[in-house]
Amino acid sequence: MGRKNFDIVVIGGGIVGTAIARELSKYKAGIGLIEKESDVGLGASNSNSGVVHSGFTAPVGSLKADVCMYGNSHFEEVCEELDVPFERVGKLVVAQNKKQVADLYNMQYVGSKNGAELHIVGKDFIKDKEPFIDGVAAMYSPNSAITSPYELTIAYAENAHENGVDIKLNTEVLKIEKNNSKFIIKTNNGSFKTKYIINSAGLYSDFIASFSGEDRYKIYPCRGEYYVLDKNASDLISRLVYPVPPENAGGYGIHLTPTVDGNILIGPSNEYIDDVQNEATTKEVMDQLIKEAKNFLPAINRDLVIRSYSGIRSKIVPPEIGGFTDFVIEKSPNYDNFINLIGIESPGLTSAPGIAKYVVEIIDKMENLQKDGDFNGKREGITKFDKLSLQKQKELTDSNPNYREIVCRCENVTKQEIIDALNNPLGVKNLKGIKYRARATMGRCQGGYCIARIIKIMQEELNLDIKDLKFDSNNSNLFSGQAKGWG
Amino acid sequence: MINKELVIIGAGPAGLAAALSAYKEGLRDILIIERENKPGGILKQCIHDGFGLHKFREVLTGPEYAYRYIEKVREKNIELLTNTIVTLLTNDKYIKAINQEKGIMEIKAEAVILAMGSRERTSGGISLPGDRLAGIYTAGLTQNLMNLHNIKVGENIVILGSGDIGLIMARRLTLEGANVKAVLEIMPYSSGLKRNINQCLVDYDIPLKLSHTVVDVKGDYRLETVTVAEVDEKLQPISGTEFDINCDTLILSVGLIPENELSKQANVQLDDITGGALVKDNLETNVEGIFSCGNVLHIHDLVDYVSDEAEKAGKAAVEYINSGEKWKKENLFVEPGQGINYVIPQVISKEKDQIFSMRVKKPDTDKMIKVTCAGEVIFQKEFKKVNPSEMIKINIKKEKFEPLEAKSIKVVAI
Amino acid sequence: MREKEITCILCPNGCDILIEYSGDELLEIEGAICPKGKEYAEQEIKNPLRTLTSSVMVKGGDTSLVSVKSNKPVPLKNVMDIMKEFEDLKVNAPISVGDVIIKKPAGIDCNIVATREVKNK
Repeated sequence: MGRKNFDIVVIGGGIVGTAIARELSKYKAGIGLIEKESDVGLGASNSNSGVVHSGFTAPVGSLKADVCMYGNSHFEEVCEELDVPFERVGKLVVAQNKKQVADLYNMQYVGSKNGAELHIVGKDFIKDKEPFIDGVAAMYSPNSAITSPYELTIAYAENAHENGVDIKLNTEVLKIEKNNSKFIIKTNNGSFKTKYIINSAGLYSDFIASFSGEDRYKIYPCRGEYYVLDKNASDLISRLVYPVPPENAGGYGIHLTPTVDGNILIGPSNEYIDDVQNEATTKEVMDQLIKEAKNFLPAINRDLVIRSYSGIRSKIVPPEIGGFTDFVIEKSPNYDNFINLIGIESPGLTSAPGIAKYVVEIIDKMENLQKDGDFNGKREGITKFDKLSLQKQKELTDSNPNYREIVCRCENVTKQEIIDALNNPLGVKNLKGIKYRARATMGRCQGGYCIARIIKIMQEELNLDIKDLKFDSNNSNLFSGQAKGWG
Repeated sequence: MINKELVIIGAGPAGLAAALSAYKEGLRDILIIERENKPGGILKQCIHDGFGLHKFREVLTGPEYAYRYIEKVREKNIELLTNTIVTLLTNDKYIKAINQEKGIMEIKAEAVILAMGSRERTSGGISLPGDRLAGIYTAGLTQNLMNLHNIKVGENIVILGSGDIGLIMARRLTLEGANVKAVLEIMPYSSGLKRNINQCLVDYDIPLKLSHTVVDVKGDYRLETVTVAEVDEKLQPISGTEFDINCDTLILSVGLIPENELSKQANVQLDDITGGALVKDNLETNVEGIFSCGNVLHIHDLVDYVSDEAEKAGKAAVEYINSGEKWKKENLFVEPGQGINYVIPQVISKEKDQIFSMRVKKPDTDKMIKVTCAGEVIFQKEFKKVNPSEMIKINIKKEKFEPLEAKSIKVVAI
Repeated sequence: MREKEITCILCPNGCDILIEYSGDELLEIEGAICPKGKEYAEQEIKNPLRTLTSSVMVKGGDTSLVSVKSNKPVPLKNVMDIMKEFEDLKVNAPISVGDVIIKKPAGIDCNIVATREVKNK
């Protein structure tokens, strides 16, 4: 059943929560992580642009600027340690007119104060680097990079787990009480005692914070819808391409993002919504995405779209004000050992390593944490067959027949990778878990070819009845059952 | 490296017929590569009947139709590698394939026939609005799961798209006890065969709602409700016409896309409209020695036509291998004109009788299919009814082409 | 009097036939290019016949299902009765194309035959 008593519990298994849990696992302490969904990273952490920002939008002198700059300079090292893809592809913020060129200089000024390396470049530079992009001038940021946000979240969680963090999935916090020196966290999955609570619950951080007497912040969910383009379009851009952000938009504008897997993302939109759970996409916004993307990349068309999705920003700036504000990371009004992280929106992914360090320092000052000599920061992900050289592929196929069976033909994912994904350290046993670990179903056919094959492997490996196979949560049965032989 | 005279990629109806045709032409060094564990392609899961009327003058089920070819391929001992997936094809006909038994194989072919079939358009491809939930499947996948794996995807079903697979699955799911609540079609007409509308929907009182589409899908992890709206002439949802249907499953039958990923690797040029290769009248692509047939070339309505086309490709590949004969320069480009969506082949020789396959843009009655050259009509045929769901074929004798001076001909429906 | 559009499936022409009928009686027929169309239409009104296709579970085979069909058209109204016979039925591999799986299912005059082969596991 796992443990019930902890020194520290992190609430929320997004990129920030898992980064904190992994940072804490470097110390001797009983650490738990509670996540309400069936896997880590299923909120905004799997539905963002996957960009590692270089820090030119954060206000000078802010905590956000600090943790973002720390993140940008340490990200490569983190990804290396955790076996997660990272590419420093650079970014162009493209101006379409003279007014926007002036905006570029303003951004460069702010960014340089934060310590970001930024250059204003002309039309020729744009054409040379990105021949399909239209623009009059651009700000070039060589240090902007991309990663796989969900792989990193999973990697942080797996490495934390490896180093003793107890990760409790499908566990939703209902109530938190203080009992003498301990907090009692009541969940749908039993109660847990802990000395410290770290609230990194993202969209639900205001709800969790309310148990610590914190009522100054409210989350205003702000949806961002995206399109994913076929890998066939990957030649259209090789860097991040952004527009000059609209004033007070609270987003960066609809931009183009190459992913580490070779797709291009268009988005995100910027819509304040009422319901934190409303991850729907809408026709109006999707039409808008194509229109805006065409402004600077005319070659884009709908036939290239293989999927759309949306993610929700946890903003603490109300819609009537708009724009960005600093991250809130502080001890709660009622309890020093209840630390709230509220409003961690973009650049939350970039900032995760810095935030983790910052939070652990706060605890260390109170608790004087002891380093754990057994900590092993190295994590190895699933071997990705498609990314290997022919020589290496042959070595694998020679030694293991499961590498000789391509299950997902769009992404060339082998049976062994599906098995590896199913046997993940966190014990996630559903289709989405496989998707985010092995990439199967993420290609242009969206699982049309491989789902039947994956189902078969799931049945073999898990020994489950057809009607018990899940898409993600416990409520998400994939099928109603057998067609024949019900009885 | 393995050397082969002819490699056929795909052992569906196209690949099998192409192989038998090449064999008949005297070729023996043939290899068919199939990624599934059995030959037959999509026919394996098409357990309904309605196949073979043209080819065999009798009504067969999909597996029976396939079996007629599979038996012969076995009889002739044509080499067939199943469970084998091609991961690379280059324009010099180098093939990288992988299977359980042999691991990675490298093959050099003299000629290649592309017979990979098609894949389904997905919810992502049509930008289906709403949540990402369990319970949304494409029709072909639903058919595969039900007919080959004994899996029933859901109980209360809405089908979006009235393509043939959607109609067939409406009946199939009903027979297996599911409640199919409606079939929705965004167009003002169905893209499925009349016969299927009658026997799959009318027989079982399943409503077909034309000019309707899904504007939202909602649920708590698994689908619970789809919101449906009527659309206007521009196919845009009409505000105020929305209504909800409670269902646990949405099945999409919204079109097939020729699966040309390998073709693209080999620099095969594709037609924007068909999504398949641009081909000459011998079904050779722009890459010498690479031929294309079946649904990878263009989506067919009847498998019988796939077999015909594949036989032609098989024969042409053998001619190419035997003579190394290059395409003759004396040719004509074929263009779709008014009322015509596409015509195959796109390039023809003036010295051969020709068969054109085409689809019209919209359903209509009393249409004249005309072939014109520089404004002059060289062929015409009257059709009482034309329908985008039904492929039209016309035969034209070479005598009609020989005197032509211009470089192109146009096909129109007026 | 009722009107109905039917598609004749007796040959590849697939005539779309418009019929008017009252009860079992065919009053008007339009669109059939041969006399068979009329026969078909009359049958459609009185007692529409359909070839039933489905699948049956297999024991010890290289696949878990075998696809089947009725070897002749059966009354549409009896289709669900025949389907019931398949529900929990399991047949043993190997199976060849054309093998009779059930004789006279639900008492209906037809045989259910295999439409694919299934080899032993």
